[in-house]
Amino acid sequence: MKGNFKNKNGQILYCVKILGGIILGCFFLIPIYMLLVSSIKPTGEVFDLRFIPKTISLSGYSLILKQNFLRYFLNSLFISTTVTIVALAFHSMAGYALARLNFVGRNVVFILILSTLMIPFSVILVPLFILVKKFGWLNTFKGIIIPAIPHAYGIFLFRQFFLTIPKELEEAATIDGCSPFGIFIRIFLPLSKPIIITLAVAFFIANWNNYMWPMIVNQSQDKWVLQVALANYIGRTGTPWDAIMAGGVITIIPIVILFFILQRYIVEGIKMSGIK
Amino acid sequence: MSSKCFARGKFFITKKRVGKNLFAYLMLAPDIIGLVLIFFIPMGIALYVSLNEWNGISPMNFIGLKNYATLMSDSLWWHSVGITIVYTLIFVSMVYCLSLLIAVFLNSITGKIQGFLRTVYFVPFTISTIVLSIIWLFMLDPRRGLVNKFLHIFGIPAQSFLGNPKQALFCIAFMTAWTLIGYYSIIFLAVLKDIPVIYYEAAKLDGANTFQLFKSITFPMLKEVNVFVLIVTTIASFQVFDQVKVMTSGGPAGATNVAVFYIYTNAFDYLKLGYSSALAFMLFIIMFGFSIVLLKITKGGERE
Amino acid sequence: MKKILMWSLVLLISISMIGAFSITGCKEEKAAATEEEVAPAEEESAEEAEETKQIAEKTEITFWYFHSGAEGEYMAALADKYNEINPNVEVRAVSIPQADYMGVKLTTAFAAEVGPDVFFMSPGDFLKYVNSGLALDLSPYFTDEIKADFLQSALDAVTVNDKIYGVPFEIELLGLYYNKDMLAAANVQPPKTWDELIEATKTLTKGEVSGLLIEPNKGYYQNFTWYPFLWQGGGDVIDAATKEGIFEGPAVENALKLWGDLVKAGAPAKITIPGTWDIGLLGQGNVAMQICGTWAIAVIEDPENGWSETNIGLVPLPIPEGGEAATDAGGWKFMVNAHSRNVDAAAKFVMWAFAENIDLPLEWCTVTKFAYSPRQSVIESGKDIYSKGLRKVFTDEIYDTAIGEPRYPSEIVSAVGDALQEVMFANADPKVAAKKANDIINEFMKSFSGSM
Repeated sequence: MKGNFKNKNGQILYCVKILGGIILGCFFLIPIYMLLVSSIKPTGEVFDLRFIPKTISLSGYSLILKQNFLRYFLNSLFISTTVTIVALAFHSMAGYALARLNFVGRNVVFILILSTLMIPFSVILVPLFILVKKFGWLNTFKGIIIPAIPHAYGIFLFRQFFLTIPKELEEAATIDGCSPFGIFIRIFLPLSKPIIITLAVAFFIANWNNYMWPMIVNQSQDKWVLQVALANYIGRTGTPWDAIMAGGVITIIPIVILFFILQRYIVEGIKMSGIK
Repeated sequence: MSSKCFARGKFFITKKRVGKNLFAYLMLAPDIIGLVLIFFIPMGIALYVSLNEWNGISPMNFIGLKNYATLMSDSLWWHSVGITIVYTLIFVSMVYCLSLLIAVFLNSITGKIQGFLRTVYFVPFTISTIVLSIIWLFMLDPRRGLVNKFLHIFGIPAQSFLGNPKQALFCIAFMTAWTLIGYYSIIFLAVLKDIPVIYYEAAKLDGANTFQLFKSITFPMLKEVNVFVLIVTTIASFQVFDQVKVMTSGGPAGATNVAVFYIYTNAFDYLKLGYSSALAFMLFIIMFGFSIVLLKITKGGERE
Repeated sequence: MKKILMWSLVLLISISMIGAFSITGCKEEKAAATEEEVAPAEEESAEEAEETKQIAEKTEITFWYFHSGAEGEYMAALADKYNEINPNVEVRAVSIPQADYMGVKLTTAFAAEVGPDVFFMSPGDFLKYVNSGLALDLSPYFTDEIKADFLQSALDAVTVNDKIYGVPFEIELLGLYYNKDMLAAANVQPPKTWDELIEATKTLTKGEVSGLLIEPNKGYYQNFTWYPFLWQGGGDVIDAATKEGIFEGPAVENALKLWGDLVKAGAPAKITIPGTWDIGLLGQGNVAMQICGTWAIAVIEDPENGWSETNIGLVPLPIPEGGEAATDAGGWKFMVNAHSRNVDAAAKFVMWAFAENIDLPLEWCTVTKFAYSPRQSVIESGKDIYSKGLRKVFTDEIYDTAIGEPRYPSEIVSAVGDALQEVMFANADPKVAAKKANDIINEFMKSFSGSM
């Protein structure tokens, strides 16, 4: 494929592809542009839906930043980072066990774990809340972090990914005298960099944007997370829509930056020379 | 010591085997404990509640399987299940096909531009539900929204979209897919990159065209990730709720009254926590059945 | 494969049941324990009161509000003011997002017995909490003097079986706001009848401007804004005396048909903001007319709303031929949690805020927002304000036609809402839609044992 680059046809095809990619990109970005543009309009104009603002005003941003937003930002950061790190550790271990270790009840455990994905949150909301209250985790960070950690999604993805790793690698390592845990740490984990980063980004975003559970567990303002703080602005009268839009933009920016930096590690791919 | 021995039910209890099992369970322990605490125990409580009548305030009133009998003849419930199934079909096919296509497309673009495009397609994934709903309400506004303005260029009359019972469900599916396509294309990309280039080059030498390349090389190599994406998006779409709550409240005229929204209404609006738990278990059983079938067909992605 | 399935299901159910019984076992014990606690509580509270004075510990009351902006500040200030006056009480005001206040937040909190001591209640959800025993009977705190000060209809709205369960503090009425310039430019008079309303909507719907804004989303607010049209023709949902559904007949069908016609004439089927209670769309010139309430006046007069140049007028809701003017009178109520540990202190706070004080309720009704007070004394002291600007229209032309917002259970609200939705968006025949709703209503009333 790279060889085609040399001739004219290949070059034209490449340009066409890039053009197509950019047009496709517009499809993804235009709504984002609406968000950005709405955030720099004054409250009264947010709903005029104009592509180019009539007046530019940073009133939304100044309102948000005046209100202790740094505190909520740090709260969200703390929660998201903690959950991501712990969840990755746990899920990679579990995924490895399910993919590569033959043990009693393996399929049963897998199905049971998968089944936790099928429970609508609305229905375990009340029982979970009662449970969390019993443990004394109400209005604490524990109460938000701990329930967010166990999640079948991560276990499932790790399992599927580990299944793709050729058995020959494992066998070679065992012959060299490596223990199962050693195989896990020295072979599987390094190879799964793409998945780890993908999941890290996904978990971080999910917790960063999480609204329902933190809103329910919180009982005091200082422990608010970003999304709860934003939602409190929306009321029946006098909703500062410019602030809501500004808040929306502010919550997105860190993630996009994070992703932009990390994303090339996701797609680097495994060098098959690892077999040696 | 292979798993074949197990299938025949003969237990060779050796130190090695016990050690192996123990190690596996140790690796699983943190997550299992967590899942039991956060999912299974509340599920158990919910199962118990479903055998009762409860409004959250007065003590529970045990009524046995009455809730389940009621839901069997609840036409509104089965209607909402139907809507959910339609939604799932639209949603899963959109997400799966489009993210795979985009992944293949991206894979063929060399150079730094690929990274730039990847980020661009990914950005929608970072938006929270509230903001997402507001932006798309803007885009789909019947009179002033961008989408209608765009259609106007082609002479297509303005559509109500979320205000039209026939279009609302599709719009929600489309909007949700819009946020996920970038993300799943990255996942596909990660696996596509592992496919050795030599496979393609060899097949091209044999005269294979693009479609045959995809069918015989690309697709089979995606087995495991296919299973993942299909199952995960199916389960997620069966549970669609947040966007419906914020954007349409189940309307217009009940067109987006999906299963979880109906469960939510019963739980937090009518304060029928017992009945809603029974409904949720019914949904669970439906999803469980679906997933088992899917897993069986695809053999869980495990290579023989 | 079958074996695995069986195994998994067995394990699943057994883990769950073990977990369930261990936890609910505790909960039932707890429920029994609280009942025992309540009996000796009366003995204890006398002792406790002594102890409290001695230890000088503060009684803590939590107070959850959902208001934002200026209204939210008012609520937080309420708590501060009370704390200043009563050093042995600490009222903790907590702000909760409005969208989930009634639904998820209160329900989960009450279910886990960590609900607030003082909270707000809308007429629509009022009965839920009264019938389940969560609302504290405030009758002992309503002295004859206080009762006389309240409008009878306002008190009736919070009374069930002769017991008063909440404190009303605002009466919000609905009217038809319109853009004076747009109507003048199109040579349209503010509509007085239903036919004029439909005509005006058609004429004023041009390009990107919609003629009229009515609530398209199903829910309490849609019902709230639609009921007046039902009442104007003499129709109603439930017969107050027989408690039977009467959601059928010409009055019902015409009211349903009206909203269907309005949508066809140009009322948007979807709006960009969460609800039409926000007068912003009218203010920004996106619609020519909007049905909205007294609360909008404060927003219209706020110089910082970003659209003060818009000329907004107000008329009463249009009536059908041969119909009688009517509008809806809504407004939230203040309620006390009967399971609170400090019921007395909580009740005292609630009564102080809106039943005994005059300047605080006055500030709420005239400065923070505009609403009518259910108390004569407050109305008297704020007399001048009620004739200022658009308020005059409400006071002179709308106030007397107000009928209190009904407090139907959610299932009935939903049935009526479905009928409305079907006529508005699914081209249903109003007669068929009404009958369907009425059947559901009657079916529900058969098994409903609570009070109405």
